[in-house]
Amino acid sequence: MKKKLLLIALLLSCCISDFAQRPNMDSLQKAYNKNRQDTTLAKIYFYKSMYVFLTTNVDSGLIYSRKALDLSRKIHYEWGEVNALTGIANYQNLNGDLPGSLKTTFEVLPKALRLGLMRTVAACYNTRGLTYSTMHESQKALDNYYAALHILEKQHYNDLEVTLLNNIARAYLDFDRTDSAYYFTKKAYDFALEKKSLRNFGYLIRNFGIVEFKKGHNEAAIGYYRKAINDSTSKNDHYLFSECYRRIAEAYQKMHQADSCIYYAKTAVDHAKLDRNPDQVQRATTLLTNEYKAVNDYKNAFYYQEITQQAKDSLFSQQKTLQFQNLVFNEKQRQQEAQAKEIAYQNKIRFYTLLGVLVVFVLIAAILLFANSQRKKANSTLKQQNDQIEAQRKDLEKTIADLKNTQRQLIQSEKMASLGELTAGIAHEIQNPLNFVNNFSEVNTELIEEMELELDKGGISEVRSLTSDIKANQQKISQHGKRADFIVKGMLQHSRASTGEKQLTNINVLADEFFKLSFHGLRAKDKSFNAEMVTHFDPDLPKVNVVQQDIGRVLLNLINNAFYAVNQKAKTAGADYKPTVELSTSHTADQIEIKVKDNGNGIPESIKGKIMQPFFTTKPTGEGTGLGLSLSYDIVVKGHGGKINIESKEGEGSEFIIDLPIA
Amino acid sequence: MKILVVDDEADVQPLFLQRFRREIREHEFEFDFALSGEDALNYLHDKHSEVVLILSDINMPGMSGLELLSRIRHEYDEPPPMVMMITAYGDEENHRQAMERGANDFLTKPLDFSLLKEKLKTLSI
Repeated sequence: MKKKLLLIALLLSCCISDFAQRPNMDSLQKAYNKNRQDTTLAKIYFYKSMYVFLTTNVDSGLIYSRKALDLSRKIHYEWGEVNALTGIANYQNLNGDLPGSLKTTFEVLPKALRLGLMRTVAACYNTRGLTYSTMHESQKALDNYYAALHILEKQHYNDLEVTLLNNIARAYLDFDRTDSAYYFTKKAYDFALEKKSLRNFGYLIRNFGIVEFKKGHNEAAIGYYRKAINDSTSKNDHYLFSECYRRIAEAYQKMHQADSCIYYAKTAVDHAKLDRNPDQVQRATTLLTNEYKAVNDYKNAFYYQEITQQAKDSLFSQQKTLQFQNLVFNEKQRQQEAQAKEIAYQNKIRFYTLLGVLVVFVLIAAILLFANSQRKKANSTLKQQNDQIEAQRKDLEKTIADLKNTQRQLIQSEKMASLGELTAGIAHEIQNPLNFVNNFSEVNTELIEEMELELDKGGISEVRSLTSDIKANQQKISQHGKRADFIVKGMLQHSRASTGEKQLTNINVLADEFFKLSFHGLRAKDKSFNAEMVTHFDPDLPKVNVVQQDIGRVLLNLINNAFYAVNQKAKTAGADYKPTVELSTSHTADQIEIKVKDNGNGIPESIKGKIMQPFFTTKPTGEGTGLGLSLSYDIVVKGHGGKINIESKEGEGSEFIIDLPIA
Repeated sequence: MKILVVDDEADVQPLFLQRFRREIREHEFEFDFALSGEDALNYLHDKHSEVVLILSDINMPGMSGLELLSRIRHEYDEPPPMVMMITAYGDEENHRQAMERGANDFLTKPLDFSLLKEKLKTLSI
């Protein structure tokens, strides 16, 4: 039984034999003798297995493949291991151990792929295709052949192609797809011719014959079969011969040439017997039995029917075994597939679980990274903002310091500005007393000269009169000198920073002086300027304790404003308008009141609330600092505990009323 | 010759009287005084025919000397009194305006009384 299977396997071997590169065994052996390397030895085992025993001794072939495997595993020689396994799969297939072969190919394929041994991968697919073919699973066989072919074409392993193309063609013949079978047979044939690889020639030509036969071209088919027999390189290929002669007989049967049919069928039986192939025997004898029956030769018909029966018996058990093996194998395969599915499912679950976990991790990492970068960004933004705030704070501090400085300068410049306005008035006011001083001095000199003359003459009464004049003049000189002195002192006081020292002051004198100063100052600046100056001084006005230069500044300011207001109105009003500024003082029991009144344009309602604000001015740029009233307010209200009230009617004029507490 | 002196400074009066005391004693000049432009106009209203010469300060509160000059030139043209303007600010603008308005002369403070005397004497001849 096993022997018969072996035979079938041997027949198939020709389809495999090319699937390893043909090495030079002698040179390998020499190399090993020299270097004694285990890898070389493993190679020798493998090549011996594949080339020495493939067609001669399946058992020895298997043994050598196993030796190659054991040695390779021992020395961790992966190339050797993978190739040895491929060899084992091949022999398992030949031995009819189809499940073992399949299992081996499943085991070796991933390793071969991993190592990039594409020739071995192709060999595995081919072996698997052969296994499926034996199991009559032609589609699976074809799938595997194509997988192998794809690799071969890609890697240009041209030497393997003939074998594989033949295998494919045979699979198509099983399907009755003659066109495809013809195509692949022709391709293999041409390739074999080109490469002068003639070992499979007989089988290829047989394929052509079968194709013609299936098309109903019996004579053409017969021609091919004969050619296959003649062109076969091996003269002992009884399988091929038996098949071809039987197929010739079948063709003659179709052509109703009974003699020829019987003749060739008998030859087929002879070769089938030589091949010990019961399948071939029963196919040929069945043909003979039918033919003898047709010609009523029952003796021969009976004789061949007997042989058919014997062959069938043996074939039956053989087929039974095959079927049984198929069943076992299918079950195993089913189990393996189920297992593989289970593993694949578990792997899938594991994969997706891992993927899920990974995605979650990546997400978490991304979120963390994002949060981190956001935080970094936020931190850097915060730092930037802090820096900005710090810089702004410094700027502000500097600005405040600058502002304070500017304020000081402004107050000073306000003083200087009002002083400037005063200067011309001061010049005039000093010039006048000085003129008097000078003039009265000169007059006195003259009077004294006259007096001397009169003394010489003895005119005593004249002398007395002159003396009293001189005396009066002397008083004038003194008076005007003091007046100049007061003005200069006032000016100096005004320009100096306030000492804050309060002293009892006659407001009437102060007010009158600044009234004049202001008037002359404005006159000096604007020759066309004029205004009526009216004073109503309270002759009983008590002295008040004030900072003179401060209150003087307030008065000067208010008076200047009043003159400015009437002057502005004078520019637009008609000739009837009499610009007038009134300055009056009065007192009650606990306070004195100073009023500065003008008949100018008045203060518009819209700006009444603003005029005490610093820097508010209605004067053109450069003419006023806008600090006058604000400083006045500070001086009166904050400095002296007084009040400033404003009464104003648009178009009629304004009145500023200052109340200062007595003592 | 009657001279009206217009000045807001009251002390101008004793000064003039003393400076010109010899001329006054010998009745060469006679002085009257006004402390403002308005005063001067009031005075002239009554005695314009007596006054030959008006000496007026320019810078005064109320009516200025220039205004006074204009009024005099406007109201008293027959016979036109002589008007001399006096100012502490001897600047071109005041001078030009005074001359435009018909001033006969322009003097600056401090007054040079010798010069004034000479001018008055040439006038009186």
